[in-house]
Amino acid sequence: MALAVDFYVPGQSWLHRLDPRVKLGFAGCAVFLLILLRSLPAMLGATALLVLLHGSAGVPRGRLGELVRALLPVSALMFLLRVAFYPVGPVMANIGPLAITVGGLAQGAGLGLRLLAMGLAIFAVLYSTRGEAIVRGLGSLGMPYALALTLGLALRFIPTLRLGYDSIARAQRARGLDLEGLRGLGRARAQMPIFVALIVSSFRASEQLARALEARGFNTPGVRRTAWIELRFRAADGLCLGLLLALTAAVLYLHLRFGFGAGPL
Amino acid sequence: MIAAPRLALHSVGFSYPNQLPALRDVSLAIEPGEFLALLGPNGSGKSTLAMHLNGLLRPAAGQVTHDGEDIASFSVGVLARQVAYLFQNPDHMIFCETVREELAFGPRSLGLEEGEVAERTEAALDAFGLAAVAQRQPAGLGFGARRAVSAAAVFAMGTPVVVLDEPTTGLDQGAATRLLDLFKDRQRQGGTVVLITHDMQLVARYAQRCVLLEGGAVSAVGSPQDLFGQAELLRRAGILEPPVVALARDLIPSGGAGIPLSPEEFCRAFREQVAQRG
Amino acid sequence: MLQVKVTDLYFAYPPALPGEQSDWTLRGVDLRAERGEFLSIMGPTDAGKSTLALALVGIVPQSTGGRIRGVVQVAGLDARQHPVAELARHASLVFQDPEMQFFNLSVETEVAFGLESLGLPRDEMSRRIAWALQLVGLKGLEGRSPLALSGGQKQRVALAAVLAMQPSVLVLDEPTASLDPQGQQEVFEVLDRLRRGGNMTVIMVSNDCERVAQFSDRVAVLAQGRIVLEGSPREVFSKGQMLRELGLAVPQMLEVAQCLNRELGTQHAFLGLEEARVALSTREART
Repeated sequence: MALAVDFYVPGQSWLHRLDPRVKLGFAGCAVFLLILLRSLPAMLGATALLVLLHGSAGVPRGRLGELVRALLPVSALMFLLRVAFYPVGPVMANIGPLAITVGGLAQGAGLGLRLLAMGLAIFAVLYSTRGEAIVRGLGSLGMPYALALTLGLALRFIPTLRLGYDSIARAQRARGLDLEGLRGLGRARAQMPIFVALIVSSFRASEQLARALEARGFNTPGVRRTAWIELRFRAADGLCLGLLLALTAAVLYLHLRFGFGAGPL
Repeated sequence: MIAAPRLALHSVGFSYPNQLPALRDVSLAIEPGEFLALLGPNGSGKSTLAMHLNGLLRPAAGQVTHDGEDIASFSVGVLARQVAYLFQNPDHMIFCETVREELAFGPRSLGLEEGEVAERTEAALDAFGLAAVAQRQPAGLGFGARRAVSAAAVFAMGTPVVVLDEPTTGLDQGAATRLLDLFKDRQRQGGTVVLITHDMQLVARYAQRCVLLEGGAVSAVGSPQDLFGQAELLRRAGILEPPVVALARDLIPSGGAGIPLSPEEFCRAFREQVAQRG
Repeated sequence: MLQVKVTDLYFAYPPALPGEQSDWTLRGVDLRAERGEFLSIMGPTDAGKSTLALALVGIVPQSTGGRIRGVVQVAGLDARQHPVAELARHASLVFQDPEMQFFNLSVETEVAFGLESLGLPRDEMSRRIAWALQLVGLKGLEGRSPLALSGGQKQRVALAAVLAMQPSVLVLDEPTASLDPQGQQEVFEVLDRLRRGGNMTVIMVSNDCERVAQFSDRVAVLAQGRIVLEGSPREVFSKGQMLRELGLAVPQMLEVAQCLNRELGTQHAFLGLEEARVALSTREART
């Protein structure tokens, strides 16, 4: 089918070869900084940097496009809400009771970009790191294995859910469920047969998965779990980690001391 | 039931996004009232082809016609009145509170009036032996029962053409034949049945004509007799020939009667051969 | 030495709604299996075969809840009480659906999963992973994602993952029902290799009567929640009438043998293709 089985795109880029712990650290720092900084220029800069990052890691533009398309609805919503309800400065136009301002547009864009940038940061990790490496990395950083595995399983389920939705939609449409021409609430209501079947299927699937875990001895009482995947921290990883921490510290310092990136967002 | 249309694919080509072509220049006609088996290894394009018959998939090249008319402009909802599709996984269909509602959903979506819907629902409940669980929640039933519910739901739609996509996986042979017998009845009343399956014993028993797909193209068309007579073809297609056929190939040189497809046929043919030799 | 001992097992799943009572799914099942035996369990759909398989590894009743009575002893342990995760090292289960047995890992790491759970050191894990992948014929696919493989390959990965734990009892719940003929062939080749090895006790739930006849030392038929027929493949399949009433199939060769015996007065008893070929060719030569 059309969809990839995994978020992960196999490759040999520098990002792929980086230790998963460093990449997880990167995602954490990126999200932290994106919340800390509050100006539109900062958001623009961050987004640009992240797009460059993805490019240098060889992430195909198609995948990037998919991600942006997925995040666009929520981004757009944030943009619109900000523009509609937080007028700032000179008014450009009036739509009914709402005043569209330049400042409002800028801030709306900033909010939308922030979400996009966070998505890009997190997906940089997902695209360049195998699910098992993420789980192992989290475990190595101290997360209890059960929790790390849960996150890994959640990732595993997303493509399954998407494929499930497609299969179910087809089956229901073949019974005469007509979605053509319906939009918004009407469409959502008409899709109920699809959502209900999807939820029930998912419950069944997760029950199956839980049994499979048990049948493989998961959580054996009294036994300390060992790990097959070895994580090796190389010089390159140390370098990147150092750069990452230095950059984060620098931005933090500049922000606190000189108000770098301060703003209304 | 309305008369079944003649379904046809004309040089149909299709690819899933970012993948190699799933169908390559496929031309095929399905006559009204026939029981057709679509065969081939996994990934050969059987379901892809079948989903073109009711508009779930639209060809990238070529046309699909019903009685000569291109179906490109008709929505799936409209085409569902002609061609119903039973998918392999019953849990991809089941969503209602009761079995009865589940069976009624299809006819109702097709726009039939309540009286007709109720009639068809009751008929399907009886035919599939589901009357006892009519008020139960289908999702809570065992697998075999859920399979029966999904098949009954498609049956209740009463369409002239039905596509059955691997309808018997996970069913014991008794349940499998009961299910197919019900659709065979439909065929006797003039309906068309398209069966996608790996079970060659079912093909031998029910199909009048077989279409073999390999790598998205039609590689052979013929009766089950014709097909099973060609060991090389079956092997290439990843099809396991029934033991009876393999045995007949060795012990009974092909005569005019064609290759035996069941133990009874084999027995008869073998007896005749012994009588001739003796 | 008895590896599986089930005596008078009754089990009912928890009811759908509180306050109701659910029917017994298993009603007095008796089952035995010796070490190294290949036992197949056949039965009509929804007869309780999967439930029985789950009971052999303790998932029923420990994870499912419900009412249970009777004895279930596997590899000398009480499957009703012994923690499921611990029991898994002795008796492990391969499920019917290949998709929902994988946890988002590569083939290698999937096979390692059970070994990590057992707390084995890496060098031991490495040895067992290589051995298991060799056994199922998937050497070379270590880095692939199981979800991207064919049905037969997926099921073989699941088998490898379970075999690596080296249980003394292997339970398979309709392992090939969801596979195409190619995949079925691949999986049965592995099972054949296991059978010839002779050490592992295999309990296979399957209605594929041809394969059951070919591989099993013994066959048991489960219907209406209890074992209604048991014995060697020949003994069980000769009860054609009873099997047909239950909706089960009989190997085609046996049907041919029975038909020929009726019509020609012969005494054939072949079950499999090779046997039949030999028996009938010889007869041919004599005539």
